[in-house]
Amino acid sequence: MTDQGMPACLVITGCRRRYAGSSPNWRKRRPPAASLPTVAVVPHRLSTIFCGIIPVGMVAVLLLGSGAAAESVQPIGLGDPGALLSISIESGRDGDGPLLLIGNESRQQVIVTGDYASGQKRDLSRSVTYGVEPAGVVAVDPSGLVTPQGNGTATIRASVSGNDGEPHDATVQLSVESFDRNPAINFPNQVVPIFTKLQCNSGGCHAKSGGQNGFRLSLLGFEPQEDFEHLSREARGRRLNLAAPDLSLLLRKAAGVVPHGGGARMEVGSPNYRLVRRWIAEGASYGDPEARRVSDIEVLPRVRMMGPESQQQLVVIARYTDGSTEDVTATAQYEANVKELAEVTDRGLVTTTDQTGDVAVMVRYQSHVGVFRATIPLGAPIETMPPEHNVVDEKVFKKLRLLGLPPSEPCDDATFLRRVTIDIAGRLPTGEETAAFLADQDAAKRDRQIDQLLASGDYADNFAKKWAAIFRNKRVTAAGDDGRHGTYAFHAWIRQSLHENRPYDEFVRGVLAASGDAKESPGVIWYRAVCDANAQAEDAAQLFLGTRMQCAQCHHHPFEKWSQRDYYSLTSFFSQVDRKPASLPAEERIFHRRGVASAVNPRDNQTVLPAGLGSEPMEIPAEEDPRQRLVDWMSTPDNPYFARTLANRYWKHFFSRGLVEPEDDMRQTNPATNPELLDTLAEHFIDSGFDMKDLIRKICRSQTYQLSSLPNEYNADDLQNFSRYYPKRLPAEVLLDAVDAVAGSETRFPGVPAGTRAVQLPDSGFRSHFLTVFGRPEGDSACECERTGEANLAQGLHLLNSADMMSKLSADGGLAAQLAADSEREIRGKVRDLYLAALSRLPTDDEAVTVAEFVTHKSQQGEADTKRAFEDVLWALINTKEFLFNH
Amino acid sequence: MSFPQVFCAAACLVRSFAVPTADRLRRAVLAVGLLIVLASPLGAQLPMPRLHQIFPPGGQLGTSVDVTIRGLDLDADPETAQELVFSHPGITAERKVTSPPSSETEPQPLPGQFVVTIDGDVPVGTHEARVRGRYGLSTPRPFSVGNLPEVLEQGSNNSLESPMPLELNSVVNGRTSGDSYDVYRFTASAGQRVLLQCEALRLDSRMDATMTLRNAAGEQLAYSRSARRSEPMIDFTAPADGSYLVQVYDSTYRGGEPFFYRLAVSTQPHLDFVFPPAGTPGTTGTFTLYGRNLPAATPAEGVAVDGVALQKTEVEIPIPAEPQGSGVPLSGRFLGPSDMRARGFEYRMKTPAGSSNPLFISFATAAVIPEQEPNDDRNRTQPITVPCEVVGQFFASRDRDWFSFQAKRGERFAVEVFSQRRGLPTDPFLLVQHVSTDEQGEPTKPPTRG
Repeated sequence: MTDQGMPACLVITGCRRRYAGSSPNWRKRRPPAASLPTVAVVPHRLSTIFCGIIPVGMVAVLLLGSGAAAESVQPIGLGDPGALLSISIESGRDGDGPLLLIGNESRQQVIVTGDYASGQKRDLSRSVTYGVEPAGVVAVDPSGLVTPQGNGTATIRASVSGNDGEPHDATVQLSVESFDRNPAINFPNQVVPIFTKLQCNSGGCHAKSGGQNGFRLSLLGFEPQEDFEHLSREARGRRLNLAAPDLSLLLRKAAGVVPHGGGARMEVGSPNYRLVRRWIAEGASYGDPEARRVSDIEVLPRVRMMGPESQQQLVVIARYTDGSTEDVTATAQYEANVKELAEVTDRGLVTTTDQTGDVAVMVRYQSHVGVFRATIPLGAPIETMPPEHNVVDEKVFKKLRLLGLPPSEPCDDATFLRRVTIDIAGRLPTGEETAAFLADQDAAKRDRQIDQLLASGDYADNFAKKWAAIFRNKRVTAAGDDGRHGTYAFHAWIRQSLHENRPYDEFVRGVLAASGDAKESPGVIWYRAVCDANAQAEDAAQLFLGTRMQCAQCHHHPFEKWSQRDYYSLTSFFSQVDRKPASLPAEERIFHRRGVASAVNPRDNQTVLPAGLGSEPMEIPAEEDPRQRLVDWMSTPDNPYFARTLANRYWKHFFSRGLVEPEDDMRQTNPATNPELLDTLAEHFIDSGFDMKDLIRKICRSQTYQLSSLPNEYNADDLQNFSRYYPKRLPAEVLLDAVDAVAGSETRFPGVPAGTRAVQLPDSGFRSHFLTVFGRPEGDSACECERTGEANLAQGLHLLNSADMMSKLSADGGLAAQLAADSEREIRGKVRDLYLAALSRLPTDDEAVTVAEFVTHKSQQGEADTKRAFEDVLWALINTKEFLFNH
Repeated sequence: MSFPQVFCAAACLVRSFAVPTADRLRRAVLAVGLLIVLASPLGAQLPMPRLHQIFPPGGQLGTSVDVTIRGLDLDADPETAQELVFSHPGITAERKVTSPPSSETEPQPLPGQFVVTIDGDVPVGTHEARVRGRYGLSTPRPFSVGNLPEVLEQGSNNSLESPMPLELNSVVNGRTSGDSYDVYRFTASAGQRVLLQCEALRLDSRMDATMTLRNAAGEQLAYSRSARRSEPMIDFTAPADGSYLVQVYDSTYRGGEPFFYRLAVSTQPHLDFVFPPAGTPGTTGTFTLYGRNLPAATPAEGVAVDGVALQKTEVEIPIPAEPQGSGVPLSGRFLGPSDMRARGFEYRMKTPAGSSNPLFISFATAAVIPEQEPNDDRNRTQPITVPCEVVGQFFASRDRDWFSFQAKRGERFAVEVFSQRRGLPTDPFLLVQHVSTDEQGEPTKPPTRG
C-alpha cells in the first residue's frame, strides 16, 4: 500500500512492534522476533571502557535473567487425531441445487475434510484420490481443482484409507453446461478482478494517482467504469486490438511479450490470459451495466484448528445479487495478518509455520472481504493453571488451554508492585512503599494497591500523558501568546476528567463536541490541532472507533466495507464547525455555525447527511450541533466500535499488545486474537457506564496481568496470547522520573513549578534530550505509535555515558552523596535501600555481598571514593534491563 | 461545567433606550476618549494618571488596612497632595506617614501608601478605587470588601511541605511568583462545608487563578480553575477532622506583581443563583435562592454545579422601586460592557454568620411569566402574551425552549435574551420564526429545517 491517498496505511507498519522477552530463552533455530534493546547488552561490555570501576563479574550479577535457559521444545500441535471416522467433500456452493459449471473456463475448488475420533478436523484435499464418473465431463487435479471437459453430469468421488486401513469416501455431484459456448464476458465482474489479482491496479502501480507510465486504473478496481474508459478510449485505442486480440497492448504488456515495467504478470495461454483475450475477441464491451454484482463473499472453512506446518485449502465463493454463486478461489486475493504464523498462496492454500497462535487470512474479492481464522495450538501438556481471578482469566486461560500453551507462574509481590505502579501511576514505587507492601500479609493487598493507585493523582498524571499525546495537545505560538494557555488548560482538563473518573462518553463529548474557547471548554484545543472536517472525522474514527477511515477519502477502503459515502457521512458531522478569534492570539473559539449538516461526496457529487459508521443517515435540525449527535451515536450501548476500541486501547496499555493490533485499526480482516475476551471487556465497560477506572481495575486484578514475565519452556515465543507478561521499556517520561527518583536528582523544566515530574508535563513543548531520545511523542498524530518503545544506540549512550546522567548520579544532594555521608548505617542496609528504590525488590544474598564488598573495597581508598562507589552502583543499577524495563 | 440556571427573558420591552451607564463604564469610555486625543500628534503630552494596582486589593468591613498603590503618572511626589478615593463613601483613605524622627519635624507622607478605613455599613462586594493627584483622577481599580478577617501572604509558602497556616473563615491577599504556586493550610472538622473562593479576574489581576485542594497527605481532593467570567471556587465537605492544603496558582504558572489574588476560606453562606431572576419594582416577591451553607435550607433536588449539590430556600424579597440614573450596582461579579444594560438591584442574604455574596435580580418591565416545560419542540410551544418577561432555565443540557405569541402586521417588537450578560456561562441562541396558517387556522408546512 503505497498509494499517496493513504498515508496512514504506511504508519501501520511503523507502529507494529514487539517486545522481546528479557529471558535468554530463545529458540535456537530462528532468530528472535525482535532484537534485544541495545541498552540491555551494553553495560558489561562497556563498563571497562567507560569507567573501569565495576568489575565485569559484578555487573553480570546485577543483570536480570536468573534461571537456566530451557531447551526449546518441538511443538506437539493438535496431537494424535485418532482414527479417521469419515470424510466430506465441499464445494461451498451446495445451497443452490446441484453444482453447476457454465462454459469451459469456469473453475471449482473442492475441499475434503476428514473427521477424526478425537474430534479434530483436518484438510485432506491434497491427500485423497479423486475419481470422476462418467469420465469426460470434468477433470480433478490432485489439489481438488475441478475443470470442465464437456457437457454432462458427473460424480466426483474422493477416497482415502484411514490410518487404520479403513477406506472412506465422499462424493459430490455436478454438471457442466454450455461447454462449447462461454457466456459473454462482463468487464466489471470478470476482467477487473484479474487486474486486482495480478496487482495491476495496486496502489504502487497503475492505480497511483496519475497512473503508471500513462496507463491508469482505479485502485483495486473499485471504479470499473473508469478502467473501461482508460482501456478502450485512451492511447488511441492501441491498448485493445479487436481484430487481433493477441496484439493488444494490454495482453502483450501483461504477458511480458513486450517490455513491461511491472514484468510479466501472466503467461500466454494461462486461464487469465485466455479470458482477457476472449473478452477482447468478443468486442471488448463493458457488458450489461445492470448485470449481477457480487453481494458478498464466503470463505470456507471460516475457522479451523491447524497443526504446525500443516495445510488448509480455502474455497472462496462469490454470491451475486441475482442469487447465483461462483467459485472465485483463483481470483481472490489472500493475505495473512501474521506472516510468522502462516503463509498463503494465491490459490488459497494456507500453510502454517511452527509457531503457535492465531492467524487471520484476509480474503479480498472486488470490494468484499472475508476472513479465515486459524488457531495453531502448541499442544503442550497443561497440568495446572494459576487460579482464575476474574472473567479476564476465564477467557485468556480458555484460549491457552485450547492452544496447549501453559502460562508462566504468577509473579511475586515485588514484581507485581513495580509493574502495576508503573502501568497505572507512571512511576516507580518508592522504597518505603515496596518495603510496606512486601511486609503486608493481607491476601487482598494486590487489589487494594490497585485501588489506591487508581485513586491517586499519579494515575491521572500518567493517563493524561497518554491522552494528551493522541489528542495532539501541542503548543502553538503566535505573536503575543506563548501558546501555553491552551495546552495547559487542555491537559488540566484531561487530567481532572480522569482523576474524577468522568465517564468515557462524557470525556469524549468534552473533546468532540467542544464549543467555546480554551478557557471554558479546553477540548477546543483538539480542533486547533485537527484543522478540517476530514481530519476531524479521521481522527475521531481512529481515536474512538478504532477505525482508520483515511483510505476511504479517495477510494473504497481496501480492507473494509467503508466507501467514500461512509467517509463523507462521517465528515459531515463536522461540516458546521466554525471558528472565530478568541481572546488569545493563538487560540480560537469553536462554535456550531447554524445550518443543516451535510457534505458532498466528490465521487458522485451527491450530498450526504451525517451518519455513524454503518448507520442510517440522520436529519439534524439546523440549530442543533451535529457533533452532539455523533457522540450520542457513539455512546449507545449497541455501538460496536466505541467501547471495544477503548477496551482494546487500555488492554494494550497494560499488556504491550492489543487484542487487536494495531489498536486503532480494528476491522473484520484484522480480528482480535481473543474475540471473546474483547467482547467481554467491552460489555463490562458498557455495563459499568463507561467507567474507565473500573476497566483498569478489571484488567489489573486478573491473574493474566499478574503472570510472570519469565517464560516457561513453552511460551517464550508467545507474543499474542498473554501466557506471560511481555516486558516493555519504560516510557520516556517514566524512565526520566525513575532515574531522578533513584539518583535523588531533579530535572527542572522551565514553565512549570519545581518538582514537576516529566510524566506531569502538560505538553510536548519542553525541550529535553532525554525525552526525545527515549521516544516521547510530539503530539503530531492520533496514533499511539508516535510514542516509540524501541531501542537505539543514542539511548544506550545517553544512559551509559552522558554529562546529563553523570550530573544526576553525582549530584551533591543525590542518593549517592547521602549514602556516602551516612556513617550511622551498615553497608548492607544501604544496599538494601538501593535495591528497593531502583528495582523495587530486596537484593539477593549474592548481590548484597558483591555490592557491599565493592563499596567497602572502594571506600578504603578514600572518603571521596565512597561517594563514587555508590555512584557506580547506582549507574550499574540504572543500566540493567531490570531497571529499564517494566517486567 | 454545567450551570443549570439561565435567565432567558423574551420580552417586549417598551422602555427608554437612554440607558444609564455605570459610573465605571462611563469613565472608562471617557478615558478611552482621552487616550485617543492624546495619541494624536496635536494632543498635548499631558500625563494621564493610571492606577495599576492596589495591594492588598481589599479589606474587611469595619477595619483599617494598609495598602500600597502602583501606577503611572500618579505623581507620588510627597510634596503634592495625593488622595485615594473610593466609589462608596463608607470607604476612606489617609496617606500613611513616617513617624517623625523628632518631635519638631512634621511626619512625612510615605509615597504610594495609604491607610484605608472601611465602615461597617459598606456592602460586601467589589468597589472601586482611584487616585486623585496633580493630573486629575486616575483610572479605577477594583477594591473588594468582605466580612472576614484578612491576612497577607507571608511568602516562602511555595511547596506542599511549607504551607502558610490560615484560619478557617479568613481571607488571604497574595501574589503568585513565576513557575511556582502558593500553599495554605487550614483546619476543618468532619462534615464542615468549606468554601474556597479565589478572586483575581474581578480584581483586574492578570492571574488566571487555579486552585487545588489536598488533604494533609498531599492527595488531591478537588480542583477548580477560572472559567470565562467566573472565579475558581471549591465547595467541599471535610471528610475528617484535620488540616487541608490549598494550592493557588496561575493556570500557566505565571507570576509577579500584577498576579495578585484574594483567597477566602469560609463557611459563610454563598448564593449561586435566584429564581425567578427578575421581579416587578415596588412589589414583594417570593424567590427561591440556590446556594451553599444557607441557613434553614433544604437540598435542591437535581441541582448541582460542578458535581456539588446545592441547597435552596424560599425568601420574600421586597423589590425596590427602580432608581433613576445608574441602575447597575457594582456587584460581586465580573461586569462586562454588555452587562450595563441589565437593570436591577443586588440582594444579599443576612445571616448570623454574616452577609452572603450579592446576587443580581433584574427589574422586570412587564408581567413575569415562568417557563413551562414541555416546550422543547417547535410543535409544542408555550403560548405567551406580549409584552412580558419570560423567566426560564436551560435545564438539562441541550434544552430548547419554544414560545409563541400573536403579532399583527407592522407591529414592532424587541426580543432580548438576558443570560450571558448576567454573568452566566451561557451562549444563548435566539431564533424568531413566522408561523403561517391556512384558512382553518392550522399551521402550514411546519418548518423542518430552520
